[in-house]
Formats: sequence, structure tokens, C-alpha cells
Amino acid sequence: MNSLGKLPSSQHARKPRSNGRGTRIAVAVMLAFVLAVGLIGCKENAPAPSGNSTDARTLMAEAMTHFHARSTELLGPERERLLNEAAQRYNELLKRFPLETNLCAQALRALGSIHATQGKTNEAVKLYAAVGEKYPSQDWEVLQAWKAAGDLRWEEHEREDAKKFYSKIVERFGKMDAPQIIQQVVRGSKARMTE
Amino acid sequence: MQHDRRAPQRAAGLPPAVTWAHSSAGCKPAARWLALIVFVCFLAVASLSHARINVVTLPDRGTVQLTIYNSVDLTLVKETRHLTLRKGLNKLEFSWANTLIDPTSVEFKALTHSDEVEVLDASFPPRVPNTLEWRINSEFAGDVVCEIRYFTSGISWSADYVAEAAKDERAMSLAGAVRVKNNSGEDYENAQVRLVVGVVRLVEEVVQLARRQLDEKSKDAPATEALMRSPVAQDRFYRNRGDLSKSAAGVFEMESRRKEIVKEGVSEYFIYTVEGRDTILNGWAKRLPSFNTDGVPVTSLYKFEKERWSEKVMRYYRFTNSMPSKLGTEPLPDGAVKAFRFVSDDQLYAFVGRTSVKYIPINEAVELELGHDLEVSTKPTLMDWQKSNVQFDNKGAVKGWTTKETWEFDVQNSKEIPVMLDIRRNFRGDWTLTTSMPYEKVDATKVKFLLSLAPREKRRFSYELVTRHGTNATR
Repeated sequence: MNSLGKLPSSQHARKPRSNGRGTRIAVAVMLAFVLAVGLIGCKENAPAPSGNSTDARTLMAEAMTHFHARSTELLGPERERLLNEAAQRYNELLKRFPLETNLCAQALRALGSIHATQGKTNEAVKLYAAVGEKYPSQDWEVLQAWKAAGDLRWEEHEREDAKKFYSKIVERFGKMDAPQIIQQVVRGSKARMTE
Repeated sequence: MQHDRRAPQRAAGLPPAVTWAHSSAGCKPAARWLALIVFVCFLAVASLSHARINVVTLPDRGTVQLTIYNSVDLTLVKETRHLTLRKGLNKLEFSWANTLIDPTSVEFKALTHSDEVEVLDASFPPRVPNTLEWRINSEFAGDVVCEIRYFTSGISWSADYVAEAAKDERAMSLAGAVRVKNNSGEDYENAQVRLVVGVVRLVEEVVQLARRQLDEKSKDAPATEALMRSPVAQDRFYRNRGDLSKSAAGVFEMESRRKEIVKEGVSEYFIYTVEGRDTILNGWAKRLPSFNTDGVPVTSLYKFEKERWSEKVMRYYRFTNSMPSKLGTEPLPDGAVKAFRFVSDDQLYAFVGRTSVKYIPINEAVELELGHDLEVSTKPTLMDWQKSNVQFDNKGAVKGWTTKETWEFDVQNSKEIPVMLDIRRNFRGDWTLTTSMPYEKVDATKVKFLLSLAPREKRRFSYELVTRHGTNATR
């Protein structure tokens, strides 16, 4: 999209000198290439259109404050309702604001948390794993997601599966100069790997 | 709103009736998410099974210290909690949900029995949003004081002053206060408030580092994470955070001993510690008194400069932030100033004006601009203008000339007190000023007449200005 947006308008308007089929194909290929580059550019680190960020944050705050956080204070059907409302908003955020990578990573992890709360452990682990796959630059979210996934598997005595997540944590975050909290997560992960 | 706060603990297998027995009482909406919960487990709980049992205590904050920077949206929170640990495995939860806490900056440290208390692990309970859980092994059974530190945004402060001049406007009392606003999502009760004054290079560096995208992986990462990648910044950061284990020069370890605002000059910046403790609730602003000094010498000064204020005469209070002026113990931060004056012997009070001041270093003089004052007037009049010594070039065009202007100034002090009047005149080119009135040359294009006017005095003075133009100019 960005690449397309930067194309001078004259390039769109310019007529090829030759009306030959080969030239048309070349132009089509070029446009397709530019479109592809543009779409690739839309991936994780592309800047978000202005104004979207505020809307995305508002949606995130609403999902978290009004529904997800409140659900932890309740039990039964009301809790389920709040969890579903929160999940609906997290999904909406993922669809509407795919360029807001930090918020999307948070939303995806939060969806994992909701599934875990609802007892859908496998779905939760899949979502947690997806955080690292879709938003690899979001270190803090990835760390939390992998640790939560590992701990869920560990609870279920799926230790080998859990160790895969712990191993990834150690490999990626095991740095001496990391903040204390990250070092503590890494320490715990290492300990689990040796158990 | 009667929610069951035991739910998350039930989900995690906690005995809910016990878990929230402490936490429900008196918990503010924001504070409940920051509740710290100590769970004591037995060592036999090798896995994270649902065997969290026997909640020992919910520790309230022992002390809270907020160090608020005013140049950036950053506050260091340092709190102590009294934990009751059992020998063996203990669990401690910390939630940052619905707050602006930077979770990557959270640090835990045992202040007592530190050699017997070890954090084994930190994890993020999958079923609870935005919460971390420490697993702590203790070789000691009993009370342990721990410190938890983190950065938050959403807390800011600003200074304001009230100046009350005496009737003769030769002295004033100056009172300073700070207004702390908390929109961080968290209540801070009985907090010691410390305010960092000035444009702090250190903090700017922290922010710069935090915003820097060191590599693709750190994009959008929380501030402190990026910060931690730089060893130099780390050292300064820890020094700033008072982490004595990392820097012996930590300033945040210095506790206030006096029941007053303690000001500390620390390298490039200055820290105010507000006397006592205050509760800073989320969503509220609180005004805290800072200082109140009587008898500060002040000069009531009036200024006239046509290029700046047209025909208006502006009033100023001038004072110096110095020891002889009964100030000078600390720099004064930026802030709004309201000035009043006692206008009669029975202490009738009049509003003089309001303005704002920039950061005032120690020993610096400051002038408070208090607006237009009709009681002091200045009227310049051009009485005569002559052109002479006109020079022509070969083609008959004017190439040089000289002008002479004669000006008269009528000044009047309608007040019942003496005043100083500062009149500035701006001249261009090669000029010569002739007058019987003493003046001071400010720079190549500006002169200053300083008049001391008695009460109700009218005065007239004049000057003659000769300006040489074109080839007549000698400089």
C-alpha cells in the first residue's frame, strides 16, 4: 500500500508507447509486483493510518476495563457474558486494526487468556503460540504468551510440550542485561526445562 | 457493584473465602488490581497444580514513594510491603490491569532476610489478565520487608506561586505549592512525594532511549526494555532509581528526615521531597504546599518600550532567588504566579496580576511581568525633526544625509509609593544621543533610562537624537 501510494500519478496515467501485448503484460506484472510489495509492507511494522491508533486503544481499553478485567470478579453466566463481550472486542480489534501490532499482540494474548479461563486449553495454547508467530517484534507480549502457554501445558502434565515454550523463552530472552522481571521468567523456564 | 473478587482465586484453585478476606476491605477500584497477594504453598507442590493453599496475608503497602518528573510523563514508584512468608515456596501476585504501569520495569527485592529469600520464577497466570506471579523460596519463616519498584505514567506535577507584596511594594511573601495530578489508574495512599525539578538531561536520555528503536525486535517494546539494552544508560538509570546494588550513588535511597520539604541538588537536576505523606487518588489532583517565605526584598519596576508594548507601561516585581533575599536554597521550578498587594493599613488586599515564570536557578534574578498599569504613564512626543548634510552622487542621487530628532518624555507616577521606571529606546544606524538625563547603553541599538519617581511625581525630560545615514554614517 505504501509503495503504491508513493507512485507518481503520471506512472498510472502514462500510456505505453507500444500497444503490443508484451508491453501490457510487463505493465501488469509490474503493477502486480508493486501491489505485492505494498501488501508485504502492510505487515507488522508498517505505520498505522493516523487516527486509528486512538480508536484501537479505546477499543482495547473498553475490552479490558469493562469486560475482561471485570469478568475476573464474577462467576457463572455473568462472567461468561463478560468474557464473550471482551473476546468480541478483541477480535474486532484484530480485524479492524491489523497494523496496530502492539495492541493486536495484546488482544491475541488476551483471547488466549479468555480461552484458558473457559477451560479451552488447546485453543488457548494455539492463540498464545500465534502471538509469537504473528507479532514476533512484540517482545513483552511474546514473552508473556509463551510463558502462559508453557505453564498451561505444564499444568496438564504435557511437559514435553511445555518445555518447547520454555526453551524458546530461554533462547530468545536469556540475556544478562535483560530487565529483572524477564530474567526471573527465564530463570523459571530454565528450571522447568531441567525438571 | 458487588462482584465476587474470589473468582480468579477459585479458578486458580485458591480457597476464595480466605483469599479475599483482606483484599475486599477498603480496596479502591483501582487499587484492587494492584493488590499483592501472598500465597504460601508447600514444597511438595512441585508443579503448578491447583494446590495453592493457606493464604497467610494480604500485605498492605508499608510505604510508597513517588518520584515524579515534570519534564516527561514518568514516575518512579517505590513501595515496601511487609510479607509473612513461610519456609519454602511462596507466591506473590502483582497486577497492572487498568493502570499505566510499565510491567517490564517491575522489580522485587527483599529488604530484610534478603539472603534467605530468593525469587525462583516469574510467570503470568494464564487465566488472569495482566498479572504476574512471583514464586519465592524462603529459608525463613516470618515477616519479611520487600520492596517493589516500577515506572508508571499518568502522574504529573506543576508548581504555582502566590506573591503578596507589602503596601510599599518593597518586600513580599512568596509561597510555593505543587499540584500533583494522578491519572495513572492507581491510588497511592500515604505516599511520600518527590518531585524532580528542571529540564533533566538524565530523564530526557531515558525517554530518548525508551523511544529509540534499537532494532526491529524492540519496536513498540515498553520503555524500560529498550533502556536496559544500553549499559551506560543502565548505570544512570539504576543510579536514578536508587538501586544501590547497582550504583552506590543512588539518590532515591536518601530518605527525608525532616518534616519539611527537603530539596536535594543532584548533579544536573533537583529533587523536592514534599513534607509528610499524602494520598494521591487516581483521577484526582492535589495541591501540596511547598514553601512560604516572608520578607523577600522586591523591587516594583515599571517598563516602557514602544516596540514591545506600544504605549503601555508594564508592571514587574523583581526579586532574586538568593540567600540574602531569604530564598536561594533551591531552584524554583516553572510555574504560574499570582501576585497580590496589601493596599491599605487594614490589610485590604488587591489582585495585582498573574504570570508564569520559567525555571529560576539559585542566585538568579527574576522579573514577574504583571501586566499593564495605568497608574504609571509615559508619553513620548517628537518635538522636532530636521534633515541636514545631504550628499549626492555623480548622477544626482542622494547618497548620504543626517537627521536630528528632538523628543520629549512626560512621565507620571500616580501612585502613593515611589516607583522605578525603566524606559527603553531603540535606535538604528550611526546615532548619537544628547541629553541631560542619565542613560545606559544596553547594546548597539538600545538605551535605557532609569527613573526613580517619587509618589505623585510628574517629570519631563528630553533628548536629541542625531542619526547619520548612507555615506554620512561613520560606523
